Amino acid sequence: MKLEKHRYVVFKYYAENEITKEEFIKGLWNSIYEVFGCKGASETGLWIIEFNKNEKKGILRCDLKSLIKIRVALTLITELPRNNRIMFQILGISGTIKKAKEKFY
Amino acid sequence: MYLLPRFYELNVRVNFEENLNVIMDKILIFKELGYYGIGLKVPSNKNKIFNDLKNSVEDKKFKIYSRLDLKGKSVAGLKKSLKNFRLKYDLIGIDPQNLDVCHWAIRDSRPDIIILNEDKTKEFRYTTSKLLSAHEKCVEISLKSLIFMHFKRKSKLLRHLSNKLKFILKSKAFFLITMSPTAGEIYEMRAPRDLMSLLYLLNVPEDIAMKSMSYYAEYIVQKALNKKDPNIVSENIRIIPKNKSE
Repeated sequence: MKLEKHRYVVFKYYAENEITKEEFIKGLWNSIYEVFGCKGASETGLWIIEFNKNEKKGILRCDLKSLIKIRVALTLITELPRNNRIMFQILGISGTIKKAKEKFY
Repeated sequence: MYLLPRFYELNVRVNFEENLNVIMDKILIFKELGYYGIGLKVPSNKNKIFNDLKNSVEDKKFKIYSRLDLKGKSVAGLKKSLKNFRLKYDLIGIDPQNLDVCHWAIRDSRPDIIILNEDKTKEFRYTTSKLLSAHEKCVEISLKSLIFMHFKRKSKLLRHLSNKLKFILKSKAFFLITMSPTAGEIYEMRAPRDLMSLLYLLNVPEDIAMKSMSYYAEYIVQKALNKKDPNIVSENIRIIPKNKSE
């Protein structure tokens, strides 16, 4: 069996108020479901590795083939619960978590 | 040597009533997001603030251009406005309210950008694209609605926009397009590469998506600046002083 290739996406966000990890996860999944539906969401292999609300940064893991979907979903998130407006910026993408942390985090 | 593309966002709105530092912070976020140049909409009575802003923010890696958008239903009204404002702004955009005005704006040399709103794309025909191609005019497509609409409305807009873009890309008379989120606040801004990924939803090839955010926009800015330069007679013809050699 061929192993799935992963990519680690380092992101930063600008939010009106403080957000929690749970709120972020819910917002991201909602965005993926809204644009790509249930099947598209199942192909992403999304996993949140780190979420630092002090530095407003985070790392998430996804399948190489659905990298663009994650990018689109992050771009299309405009608001999280409690009317909290938000904007995401992708700082970098890497093949290993070590490199992702060294270079972009 | 491989040169990285310079990204431009030519439609930025800022509230000039705010404190200069607040405006400056907003603009610096564009720099942080990876833009090389932005076109800032400046009200006609705020040119002094714009010049202060330009002097304090601009450097080798970041440029600001003033922009004016004119909306018009009649050609006569637009001609009058253009006469008054064309030398005061770097970029002039026209938001045509009907097809006649649209065709006139494409033929006229003064406007640089033709704004294409979602509701007006229905009127877009082959003759328009042929004119755009012949006059090397740029069409700006706003992605704001695509980002901020949800569910049913978003899917309708996606279908509509992707059909139109398919028509543009397959047309024999290809013309320049730029994409813009028309940001006014921090939360409306998006990084250029993230916007390019949105074009994946619209089935735009990656190279065209890249060019629409960088090369085409740069070409439009350069063309607009050349028009204002008194030493440039026409395209590729520049007056050089006798004692200077370039």
